[in-house]
Order: sequence, then structure tokens, then C-alpha cells
Amino acid sequence: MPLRDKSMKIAKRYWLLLRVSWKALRQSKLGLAGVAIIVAFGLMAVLAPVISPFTPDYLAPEQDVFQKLEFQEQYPAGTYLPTLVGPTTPTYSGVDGGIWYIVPSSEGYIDMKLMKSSAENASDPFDVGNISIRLDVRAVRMAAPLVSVAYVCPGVNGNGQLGERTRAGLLAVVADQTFALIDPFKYPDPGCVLFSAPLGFRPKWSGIDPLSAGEMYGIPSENRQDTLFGTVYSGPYRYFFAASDGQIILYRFKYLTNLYGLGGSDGIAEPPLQALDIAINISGEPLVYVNQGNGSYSGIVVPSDNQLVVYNLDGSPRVTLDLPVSSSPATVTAPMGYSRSMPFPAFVFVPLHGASRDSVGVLSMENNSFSTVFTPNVDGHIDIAPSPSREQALHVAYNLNAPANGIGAIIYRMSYGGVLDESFEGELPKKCAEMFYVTESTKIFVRCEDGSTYSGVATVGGGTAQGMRLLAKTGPGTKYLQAIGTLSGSKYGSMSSNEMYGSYFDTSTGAVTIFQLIGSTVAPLPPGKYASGNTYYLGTDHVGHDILTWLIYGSRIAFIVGILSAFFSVVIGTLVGLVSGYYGGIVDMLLMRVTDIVLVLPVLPIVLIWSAIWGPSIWTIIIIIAVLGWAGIARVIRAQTLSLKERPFIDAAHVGGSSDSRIILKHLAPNVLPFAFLYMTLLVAGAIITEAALSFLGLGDPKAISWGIMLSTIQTSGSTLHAWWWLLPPGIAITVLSLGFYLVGRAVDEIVNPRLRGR
Amino acid sequence: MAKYLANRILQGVVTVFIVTSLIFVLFEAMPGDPLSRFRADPTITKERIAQLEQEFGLNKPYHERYVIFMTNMFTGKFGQSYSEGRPVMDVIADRLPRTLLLFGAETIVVYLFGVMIGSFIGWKRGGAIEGATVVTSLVFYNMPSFWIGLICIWVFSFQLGWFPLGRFSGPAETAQHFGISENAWYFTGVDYLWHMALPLIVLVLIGIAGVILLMRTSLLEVMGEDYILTAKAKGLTERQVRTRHANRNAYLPIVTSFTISLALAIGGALILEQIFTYYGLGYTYLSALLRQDHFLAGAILYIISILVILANIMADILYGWLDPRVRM
Repeated sequence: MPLRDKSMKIAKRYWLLLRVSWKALRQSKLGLAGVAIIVAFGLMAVLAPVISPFTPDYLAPEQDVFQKLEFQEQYPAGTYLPTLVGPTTPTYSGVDGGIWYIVPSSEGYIDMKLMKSSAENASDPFDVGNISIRLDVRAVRMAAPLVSVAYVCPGVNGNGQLGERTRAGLLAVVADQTFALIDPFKYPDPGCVLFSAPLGFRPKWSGIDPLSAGEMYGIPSENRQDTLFGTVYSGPYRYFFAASDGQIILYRFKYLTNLYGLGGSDGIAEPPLQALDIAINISGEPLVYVNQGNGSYSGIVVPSDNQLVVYNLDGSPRVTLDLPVSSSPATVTAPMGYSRSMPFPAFVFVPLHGASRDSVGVLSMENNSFSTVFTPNVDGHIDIAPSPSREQALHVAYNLNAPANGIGAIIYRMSYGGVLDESFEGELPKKCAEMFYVTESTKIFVRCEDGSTYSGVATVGGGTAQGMRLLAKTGPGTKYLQAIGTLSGSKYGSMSSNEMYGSYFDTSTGAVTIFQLIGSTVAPLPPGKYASGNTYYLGTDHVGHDILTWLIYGSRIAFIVGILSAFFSVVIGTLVGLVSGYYGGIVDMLLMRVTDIVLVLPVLPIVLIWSAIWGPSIWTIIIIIAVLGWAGIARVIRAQTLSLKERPFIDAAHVGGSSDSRIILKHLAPNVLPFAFLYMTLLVAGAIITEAALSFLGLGDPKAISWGIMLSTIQTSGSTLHAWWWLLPPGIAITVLSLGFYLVGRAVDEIVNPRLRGR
Repeated sequence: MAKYLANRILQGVVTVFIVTSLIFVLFEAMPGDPLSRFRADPTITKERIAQLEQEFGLNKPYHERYVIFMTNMFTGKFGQSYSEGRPVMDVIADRLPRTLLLFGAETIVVYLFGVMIGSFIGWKRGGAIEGATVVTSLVFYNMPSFWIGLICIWVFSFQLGWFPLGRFSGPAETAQHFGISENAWYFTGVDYLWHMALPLIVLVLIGIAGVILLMRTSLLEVMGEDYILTAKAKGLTERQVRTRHANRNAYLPIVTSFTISLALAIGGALILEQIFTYYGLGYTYLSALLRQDHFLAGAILYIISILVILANIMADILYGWLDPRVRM
């Protein structure tokens, strides 16, 4: 028989089947409803580009989704030193802490104001904190000018107790040539000066170790056992250094907060001890480095001409290293950066200026070795400290010597080994003056020379880079950009991004501007008409995608996944059922045992591993659903085959000399396939729900537009409780479409089992 | 019956063996070995890692590793959880009861009430009640469980404040909500119930819809049988026909569906635990996978599989008891 006739015959056969089914379906109201649903969604899927109000990639414009949230605070006129923040309580301690915003002036005043969580109602964090302290160091027998102020975070004792919360912390103050530790909460009692000693010089650089300043991952403690991460070594000492061009002094002391609320009255457990006092030629800002993984990696790193000199924190010399860039001597150009989070690799990052190119060097505090890791081929300088993130990535800003094409600086992101992350776009229109790394998903923000501040957002793990977004622009008098962690807690640990703030201090007027870094994006937008003239009938998601558009396009994936995976299931199930039913005996037993096992497999847990192996994609999901879903079909088909093979026409085929495979494919399959494909509608219903569940758990292709992905993003973006217009539509769509297929499946079931009909 | 029982149990053992082998293959195929997280942690000594390597045969070839893995699983030697910082056995002992509690309660409520409602509407056919119940059940049957979960959290926990917003957090929250003392003898019960209520309600809503629909259909099918007609003709009361003849036979598909739906339901419970931050096996499993804690994830998958297979064997025994034909 020619192939064409054969296919015509098959087509005819199925056309007949369809007509018969339709006749039967017409008797079932629910079945008709199901068909109507499927047709409606099918039209939606096909006509998606025509009926969608936007394209799926369309993002609501800035004027709709981006609202600046700023608060002002006024200080009296004065000659101000750099501002700083003092974190008090870690976010996960369950106690609402706060952050002290500290403004020192060289006249001798130190203003401290408490900022507290304002994320709930977007109110002024200073109003929520509502405590302010103004110190005058001259009132406690210290001489002006004030040279520097550092904040010493409260820590925990060996039992992990934190003691008193907000009114904790010390100020490490240098006024004129004197170093003092002041408890600001006892001021003006003269006893608030807990320690003071003459330095003998007015320091050019001074500061506290980064752990005590709240810049590290953990909390200063004696030796804390962390339930999640095992032992985190971080103490018990705090370090303060003061350095001039020719001399450096290092103090160490012990300060634990438990001495406050939990017994004792003195803030310092061990009086400061001079660990180091030596004359050395110093060419850049020294760094006290504390490693929380292994205390012996800690040390103080001093740039000295073309060398780095490293001392242990007990003052003993450790190593002296040369700093070559492309084998010519180099100098340190800016403050050094350091690794600050889990699992505590011991790295110090050194910005270097060589004869021809600037470079980033890495000093391993573990191996006492030095190497340059990244020398980009641009003619520019590193003017600011390299800034690491929690994902073991490093950010470095290169200011171009000759800005062109609207690019004044490039921010590079790389691994600690120097491998460049191409997905991060960090081009800035102006030269970069300050840069901070803020939070775990690599949000960095920078101040440019012209006073504009940008926030860079690049999602980690293959997401799309969003480049740099202009956050604020201030006048020429503005100085001192400060990163402020979460206001409900501290700079430690992970934090919620809508509580991240930055501050500007305008030195000419004394005005402070506090501005929200990321939370000023107001999306997800509720349904309505917006400033740009766009109407979002079902609102938008958190980055500004139109929900209605996504809902319409999502039907495509639902159909593709639902139908394809059900189809593959049916093919596998039918083959297994046919073979098993036809051959019987040992083949039947083995296949049915496999079927039984597949039936009892906990599908979802296994699927989770599977997708970890293959990586998330639509095809992974289709194959997984198909491979784990065929068992039910196989049983039905086997039962059908068992009864069919006793029929005379099969005997006739045997007698006619047909082979087994021919009988199965030519005679049995055509008779069971209609059942299989009619039962397929039930499988489609299940597959649509399974796809949604898998996508929800993060196994779907994150770039695909599916209802499950929509529900997954609402959860990951933390909008579940605040965006009903985003939560409801995908779920309703899944339910209705799945219901449509299910109803048709049931109606078909009634056709196949006539006893149920009409009931 | 004894032969039937022995047969089922033997089949169960074979299934356990195959499923465990599958777990071995899956975890072998996963990127990274169980110790990769241990190695990245500077606070764990090289000696300890070498010891673990030795213990779990990770430096041995495939076939030896397989034998060691199977032996370890069958003897309950699950290893050390990296993310929890304690033996896997302890973690499971801690989380398993919670899942069993949630899941057991769900199963009992769903099958008890589902069968009751299903047989009621199946028996009294027609009318608004049947229509409404069927349509409602159909809708719930086709809803994604995690979505109902999210909506319930939004409505009942967030808007109305009836239930806690998250995990088994401190008992203080419970004490404050109900205004009772933490030392009261009934406190633990109240605490558990309060945290369990919402996930349980969602699980029941999803599960019961299917049972109602199946019981109704199954009863309709049985009602067409000749022996029902005979029973009626004998002059038995409606009630007698229903309980002695109709229901008992209508239960059979329910038991079959139990075995099939169990594996699926475990998946649903897993997602719900995640949504409600209910610290059961499912929640722990997901976080273990995310943190590449292979020892913990593997052991939980093994335990879940065992539970499903056990429940299946029990269902088969029940089936045999309900339908004497099977035993022969």
C-alpha cells in the first residue's frame, strides 16, 4: 500500500474517532465546559502577541516604578570629619537593634543619632530611632582638634549572649595627640573615658579592626559556636592602630557587651596593651586584618614604598614582600580591601600603581605570598579600595585617564583568583570617587566625582545584569558617602535589601541626606494607570513586567509542557503495556514490577535531584514528568491488551505468520491507542500542575515565561503578602486550564465506561 | 493470606533495594561529592575529612562504593550532616515525627471524611448539594497545592492573624497569641496544633477533593451491579445495602488510589512544608539539597521511599482484607 494512502487511512480513522468522541462529549455538560476552556486558552496561546498589551520583555519605565525615598537631617555648621555608622545588634538575634549615625567635627563634637527600621512604613529612620547624643571631647579633658573617631561594635560572650542592645558600643577617639576609649552612653560622667594614652604624634591614619567596625561577616566574640556554620573564630581581642609617615602603634584590648547587661560594670575586660610601636616608612593606609576562620591568619599589613610589611597581631614581624606589576616596582595607591565572609579565605586585596598599568594584587595571609591577579588593558587608575562581596567576588573601579563615549570609569567584578565576570556591567559616566559593596546579591553603590550616586545590581548565578542605576545626585558641597546596613539590625550577616540606606553629608551646609538604596523601587505596581500613560490591567511584578502579558504568554509553556510530557508518557506507557500484556510470563512480571516501582517512587524529591544534575530547563521538566508518569497508562493499556489478544483477529494474524512485533504494532497498537490518547487529557492536567510546582521550587527555566515561574518569583522577591494582583492570576490560570483538561478526561472516561454515563 | 502477605513483603524488600540503588546512582551523578562542602570549610581538619572519606569509601572505585553505600543505608549509618552540624540520624529523628504527624493527620482526615462525603453524595444523587460538591471538588483537585498554601498564608496568617506566619519559632509567640502559660500541661499540644493547622487544612483541601470524586464515581459504578439489585430485592434496608454491599466494594478503588496518590502526596507535602516553613523532612530535604548536604538529602530520600513502600504494603494488606478474591 502506498504510504500516502496509509496515512490517509490512519487520519480517517482518527477523524472518525474524534467525531464519535465529540458526539459523546456533547452529552456531558462538564466535558463541554472543559473543551471550551481548552479552546479559550489555546486561542490565548496562539494569539499571545496580538492580544497582549505589552511584549513580555517590556519593563515599566523608571517614572512608574522608581520612587526616590530620601530623608534630611540638619547639623550645625562646623568642620566635619568623615561620618561613620555604628551597628549594634545583629538582625537574627530577634531583638530590634539599630545603627548609630555618627558625625564628628574637628572642633571636638561627636553627634550620635540612632536609626531604626523604617521599612514597614517608609518613615524617617531617625524618627523611628529617636535617640540622640552629643558629646564634646573637651568636656572630658581632651584637647581639640578631634582627629578621628571609630566605633567599636558590641560583641557576644562565650555563651553567645549579647547583653544590652542599642546603648552599647565604644568610641575609639583620637584628639590632638591622645588616643582614648570613650563610652558615649555614660557621657557627661568623667568616668566615660575608659582609657586614654598619649600617642606622641598626630596620626595620619588610624582606625579599628574591620570586625569591630561591623564590616565582617560575624560578631566579635570570645569563641562562638555557630549552629549553621560550625566554629567561627573571632576574638577575643579588638585592635586599634594609629600611624604617621614614619611610625605605627597598635593597641589591643578586650571588650565584650556581656559586661553590660549580664554582669560587671566596666566596659573593658582587659586594658589596652601596646602590641606594636615601631618606626617604619609608611606610604599608604595600613590595614588590621582579622580572619574569623583561623586567628593565626590575622595580621597588620603596612605599605612601605614598594613593599608590604606584615606583622602578627602580637607585634612580631611576619614577612616583607615586594610589590611588582609586570616586573617593575609598584606602589599602593588606595586603601587595601580584604575578604570578609564565609568561608573566611585569608586574602588582602592591594590596589597597585605600576610603571605602565594599574593592577590588583592579592596577598594571601595564609601562605604569606603575594601575586597580581588582574591587570586590565585600560589606561586608568585604581583610586579606591577593592571591594569584596559575600560570593567570593571582588569589585574594582578603574577611573579612565581619558574618559570617552560617556564612560568615565569601569567597575570590574572578578573572582578572588582574578577571573573576570563578564555578566556584570559596571560602566559609569563619571570618574568614581567612593565605592561600597552592600549585600549578598552583589549590590554595590558608588559615588562619582560629580556627586551622583549609582547603584549597581547584578544578580548572581547567571541572572541578567542590570548595570548601574542613578540613585541620587547632590550639590558640589557634598562629601562623605556612607553605606548603612539594615536599620533593624546591623551590617553583619544577610539583610533585607529594602532596608539598605546610603547617606550624604553636605559639608557646606551640614545637611545629611539619607536615601534608600534599593527599596525605592515601588514595583510590584498594583493595577491602574500610571505616570507614563501605561495602564497595567493586572499590575506588574517586582521589576516591572506586565502581569497580564505574562499571564497570556504563560499559556504557551503550559500547553507545550502539558501536552509534550503527557504525549511522551503515553508513548512509553503504551509500549510497556503492549509488550507486557502481549508476551505475558516473565516479561510481563518484570515490566509490571518496574511499573509498580515507578508508581511508588516519590516523584518530586527525585525530580529535585535530577534537576540539580541537569540544570533547570523546560526540557528537563518535560522529560522528568514523562519518565515518572507513564506507569498508570501502562497498567491500563496492559489490561486492554490482555483482553484484545484473545480476540479472533489476533489469532488470524498468528496463523497468517505475522511476527510478534508486527502484531503488536499493526494489530494491537491501533486498537489501544485511542484509549491511550484519550486518557492523555488526564495526564495533561497533572503535568500542568507538576510543571508549576517544579518551576515554583526553582527547577524551571528562569528565563521562560510560565505561570509556575511567576509564582516562584513572587515568593523569591518577597512580594507574596503584598501583591495579590500578582499572586492570584497565575494560580487561577493553572487551576482553570488543568480543570479543562481534567473535565475532558472525565467525560472521556464516561464514554469509555458507559455505565457511568449520564450520572 | 499468609502467602499473599509474604509475597507482598518480599516485593516490598526488592523495591526498597532497587529504590536505594537508584538513590545511589542519582547522588553519584550529582555534581560534587558529599564532602565538597566539608573540604571548603577551613574549620574542619584534614584528618576529619580523611576519616569521613575512609568511612564512606569515597576514595574507592564505583562498585565498592556502591556496596558500602547500600550497607550503610540498610544499617542506618547515614553519616554527618554538614548544614546541621550533627549526625544525619539525629536530624531525621528530630524531623520525622513532625512530618509523620502532619501527614498522618492529613491521611486520616482525608480518607475518613472524603469517603463519608463521597458516599453520601453518591448515594443521594442529583440536587444542588451533589452539584456543588462535585464542582468544588473538581476545582480544588486541579489547584496547585503550593498556591493554595500561599493564599491561605496571605488571608489567614497575614490579613486575619489567626495563624503564625512562619516556622516553629519560639514558644513565646504561641503563649502570647493564646494568652496561656508556657508551663501549662497542654502547651506543647496547642503549640504544635497552631503551627500545623494551616498546612494541614491545605493538604486536606487538596487531598479530600480527589477522594470525594473517586468515592462517588466508585459508588455509582457499584450501584449498577446486579448484587445490589439482589440485595434490594431481598428487602434489605437502604442503610444495610449501603454499608454492607455498596460501600465495601466501593472502597476498593479508594485503596488502590491511596497507593498511587501516596507518592504524589509526599511531593505535595514537601512543597507545603517549604511554604509554611514547617520543619519536617520535606523542608529539611530541600534545604539539604540547596546546601549540597548529600548525606542528609540521601538519607531523607531513603526514609521517604521506605515510608511510601511501607504504606503501600499496608494498603495491599487492607485490600486483601476487603477483597477476598485477591488473597487467592
